[in-house]
Amino acid sequence: MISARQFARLAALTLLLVVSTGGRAQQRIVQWSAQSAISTNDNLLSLGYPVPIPVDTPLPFDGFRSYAGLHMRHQDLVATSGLVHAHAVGATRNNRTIWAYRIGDAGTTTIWGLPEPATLTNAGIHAREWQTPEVATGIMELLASKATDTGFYRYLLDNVNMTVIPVHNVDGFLQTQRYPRDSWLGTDLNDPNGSPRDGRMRRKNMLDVDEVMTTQADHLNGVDLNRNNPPYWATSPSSSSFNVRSIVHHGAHPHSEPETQALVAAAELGPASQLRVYTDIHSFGRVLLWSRTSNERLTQITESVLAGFSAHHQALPNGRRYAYPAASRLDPFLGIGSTDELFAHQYQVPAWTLEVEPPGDPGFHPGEALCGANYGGVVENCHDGFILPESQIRRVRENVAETMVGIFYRQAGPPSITATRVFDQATGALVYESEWSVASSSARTQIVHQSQPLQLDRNYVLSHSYDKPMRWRVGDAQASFPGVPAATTQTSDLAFVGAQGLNFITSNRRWPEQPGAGPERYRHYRDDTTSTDLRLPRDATNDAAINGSVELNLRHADTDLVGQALDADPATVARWQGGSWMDYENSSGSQSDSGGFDASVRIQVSDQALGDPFVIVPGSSSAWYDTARSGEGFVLEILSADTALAYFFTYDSTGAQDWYTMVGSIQANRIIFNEVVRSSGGVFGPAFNPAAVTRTTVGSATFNFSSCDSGWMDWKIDGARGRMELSRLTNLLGLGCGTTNPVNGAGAGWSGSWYDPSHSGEGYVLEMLSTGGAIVYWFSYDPVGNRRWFFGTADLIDGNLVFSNLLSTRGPRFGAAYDPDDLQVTPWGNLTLDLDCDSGRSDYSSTEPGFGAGSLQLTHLTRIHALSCSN
Amino acid sequence: MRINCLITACLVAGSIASVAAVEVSDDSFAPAQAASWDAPNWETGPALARSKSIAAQSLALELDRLLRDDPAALSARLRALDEADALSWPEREAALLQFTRSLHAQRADQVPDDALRLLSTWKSRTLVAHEESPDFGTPLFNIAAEAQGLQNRWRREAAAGIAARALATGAESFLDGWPSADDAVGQAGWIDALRAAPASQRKALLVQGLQRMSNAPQLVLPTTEAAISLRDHAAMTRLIQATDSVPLHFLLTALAGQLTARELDQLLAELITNAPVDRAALAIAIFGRALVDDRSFERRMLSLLGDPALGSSAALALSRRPGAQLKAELEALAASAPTSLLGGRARLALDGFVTAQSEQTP
Repeated sequence: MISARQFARLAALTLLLVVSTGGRAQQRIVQWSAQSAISTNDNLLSLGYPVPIPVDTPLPFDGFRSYAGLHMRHQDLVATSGLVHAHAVGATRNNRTIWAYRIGDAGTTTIWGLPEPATLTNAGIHAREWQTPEVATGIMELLASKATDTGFYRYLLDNVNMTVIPVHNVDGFLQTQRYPRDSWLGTDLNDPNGSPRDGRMRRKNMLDVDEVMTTQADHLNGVDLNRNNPPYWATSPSSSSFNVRSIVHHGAHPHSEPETQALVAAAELGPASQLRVYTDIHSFGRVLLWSRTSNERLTQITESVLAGFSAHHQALPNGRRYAYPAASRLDPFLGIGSTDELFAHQYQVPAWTLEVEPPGDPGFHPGEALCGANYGGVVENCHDGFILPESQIRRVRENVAETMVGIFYRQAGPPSITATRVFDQATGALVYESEWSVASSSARTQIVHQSQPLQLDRNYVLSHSYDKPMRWRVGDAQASFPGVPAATTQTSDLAFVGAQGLNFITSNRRWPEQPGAGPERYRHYRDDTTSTDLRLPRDATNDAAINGSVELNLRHADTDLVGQALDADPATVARWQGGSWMDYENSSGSQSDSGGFDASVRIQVSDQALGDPFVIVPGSSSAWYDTARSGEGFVLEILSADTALAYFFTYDSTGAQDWYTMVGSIQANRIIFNEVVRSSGGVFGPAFNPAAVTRTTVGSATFNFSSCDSGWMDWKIDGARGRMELSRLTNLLGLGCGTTNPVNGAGAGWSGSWYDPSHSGEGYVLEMLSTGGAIVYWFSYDPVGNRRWFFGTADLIDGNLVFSNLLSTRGPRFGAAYDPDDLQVTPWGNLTLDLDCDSGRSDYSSTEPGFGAGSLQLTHLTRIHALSCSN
Repeated sequence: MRINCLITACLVAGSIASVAAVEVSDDSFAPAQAASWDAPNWETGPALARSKSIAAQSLALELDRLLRDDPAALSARLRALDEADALSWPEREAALLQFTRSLHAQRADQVPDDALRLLSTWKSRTLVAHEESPDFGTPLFNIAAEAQGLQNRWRREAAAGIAARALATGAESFLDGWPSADDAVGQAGWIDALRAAPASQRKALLVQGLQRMSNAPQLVLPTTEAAISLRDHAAMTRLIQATDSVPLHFLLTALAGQLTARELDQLLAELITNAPVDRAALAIAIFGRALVDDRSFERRMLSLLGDPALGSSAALALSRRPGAQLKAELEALAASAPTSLLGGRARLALDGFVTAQSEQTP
């Protein structure tokens, strides 16, 4: 005999069994509810936590933003950050714009002049997966907030083209937000009682369906955009369907839907040829699903990328473990028509489906709470995993965004050494430099300068620079990148003469904190340069290997912050091609995806005591030029022990004259010009208005001198880079250098810069020459404001410097296009300088039309260090 | 154990029913073997069809009878089901799922702990293809998840009982005990008790909570709950400005429904001036909905458009107010300062009108 209560329970149980196991149940709209008890009300689905309702706000909060809020946020980042760029890549079935956003600087080349690698991240392809537009927006917000970063993030912003589609299935997403509590139950074709449809649980796009939930006939329609893609479109009878009402309906043909066409268009923002990784963000499951191809190298790289994701995310504060399948368990010839298959197979990049939390499967996450139970929910229906509690979304958004950015860094490319320098500790002089200069998209050229062989028992600083930041920071302190064991990132240097190892002692490894060009400075990004003290002791080992002056070969090993080893051959640019790395050589010089140690540095070392290396002296003041580039050059004035002024007389890209000025700091044998300045707004002659002159910093330059008569310099102007060898052109009266003794004579103190204060913005640079006479460079403008410069040599006549034949030039083009054979020299006119130590007068007369004749009242603006002047 | 291989993947896999997966171990960056990933072994339709057998219904009834008449034998029966049985896995697991669901009609102490533990860690065997990856199976009957939900519910009810007793003792007792509710389930239980308590107890708790929360920020949550339930505007206003840990969305929503337009406007002005940006932004969004026809709100938003941090919030709020006069003002702002932040935000607001229209049914 059973009680009435027991009978009622058994009856309910029987009904439940019929309903749950596929018996055709009542078709109805149900409401997701916050209540914690499973209700006897058939129209409620209990969550056990509040039902999130989207809020019309653009800024992130502990909750979900409406589509309008997200869209406003995206567009505002475009308007305010300068780092987010909007692109309409298509329109939905209901003709709503699908937006993609490129994140990074406006350009599409790296600071090295190479095509930028690209990433593509898609979110919101399935409408109900609200976590995903938040995560994608979190990626945008994280990167846009890092404009002032000097390291990791700045590197990404400058050098990687990161495209994000935050809401792919706009129509569907709006439908879920229109009905944030409601879904149909009892209508799904396969699992009517287990699988709620439409409203909050809409997955597909809105093909052939209106936006009114109560019109039942069409509510199952639509195309699953993650089934609408080649190459496996419609090949999986179990995971995709021709039935338009199926939740995995694959559409009429591959890319039949405008949304999937928009995804292809977004890939071209990379452009597609530069794509290095694709991620389709979904929920839920906390798993990384991926598509294996028959390209085994791509398979291994993808597996490694996912290992990086999983390890990083788990190591974050409040991080979670993302599981992923091993390659050995994936069938490269099986697919469902998903977007990750599209990008893996057709674009040949690591491509995967990121299923954001919660976990849903005890097999993937044994022992963990699943679906809504992970957040204290009651799991009346496991689809509650699509409804992340508001209290969780901030953590999910921020953590996943941070991990995704780590993936972008990794796929930006393996690290390559860009420069190795050796500084003499006693003088601070740069004695060795190897620098790799990009010659084409696939090749670099190594430029080596050594001003003095390394000496035994002398202390040096060895500095290596890379093409990316190599270490992670938490605040100001270096730390392991989350998920990467500290032992993975180790730096080492070994030296050999032939096969003989040297006793090459390095100590005090450090990562400079400030930008610049010295031994304790990073080059472009914080943590792109490491320095160590270096000493080659005079001992039995080194004595045996070093006889006279020999060449040592340095083997340098390091890894970037995610553990990728160096490209062992910087002569070829590591790049992505055909689904793997191209020219990412290992230590044996073979193609690889793992790199090795760099052996490109060869340094002369001597067993002789050679004394101090050359350092800059006042006699370094001179005109300097590159013998291969006759027609342009520099006038250098050493103004004090630590300050120098240089004028760069050159041409623009059309072959017209151009000039720049720069003031720099002297560091032993180097001069660091942090600002190369372009002056504009002046005009030649009486109409000159100093107030109209503007000075704009357009770049930087560094001069390095290996001796009194030679050196090299590199410049960066308007984003372009160049390098010139330097040969001395002049010797100044009254100054010696090295073994060249000074020649004294009248007027030595006149050397320096002169200008008329009422013409601030133009002037003369005068060199009184040790060979007698003088040379002047007049940096000015033409009558319509183009920068011009004139030069000539003078004789001293009755105390005046008479330049009877000033010359002008034109022809060569600036930078790499420079051809000295294009140089045309033409007479310009004459100039007379009547000077005393502090002031003077110039009189000129030009034969070039429009310039005429005139005079200027001069003041001695700069004087050469160590030259005195007496009237 | 008989595995029903009904789909291509299973046939291709041959004898492979259980496949290994990888995860990353803590001490290595290289992939390592980890929990198993099983291949799918059923299609949904056939599995559901199989699960509707009379035998499955009988099994569910048998389990229910065991629970009622012989609870000690229930765990053994569950273990036996996990090991071997004449029924197919869909039949067994459908019955188990429904048995688990039926336990919601029981009290926690009526179900043996080990039985519940078996259910909450149940490794599903009826695996259908994962929606996004055909190589892997996912449970058709997620018994573990359902059992975990049930555990959550019972834990929550137990916590509510403890909290109710604490509250009956006094507000201090409740607040002293609150930290013991150290996860979402426990806290939900304590909040349930608070919501069910008489107003006098909630008032006492509010007073105590407001006094103590500066030194104990974890008390903000129950204090806020008390303030909302009591419709204590002053307390709610104070809480908004108090700490980062306040459940801001709920608090602002509650206030938006309770304060007058004038009060909301005053509070909004205060938050815009003095509160962190994220609080002010959310207040603009939530109060804006309550101040539909409020011209003062519009003026305030227009003045905020050029604000670097809050301008986008103002633009969105304005875009939700489709008035001709406002539109003209925005167009004038956009035209007068086309390159400024102000002008840009005015344009975003105007674009927002379009977005708002596009949200409607075409």
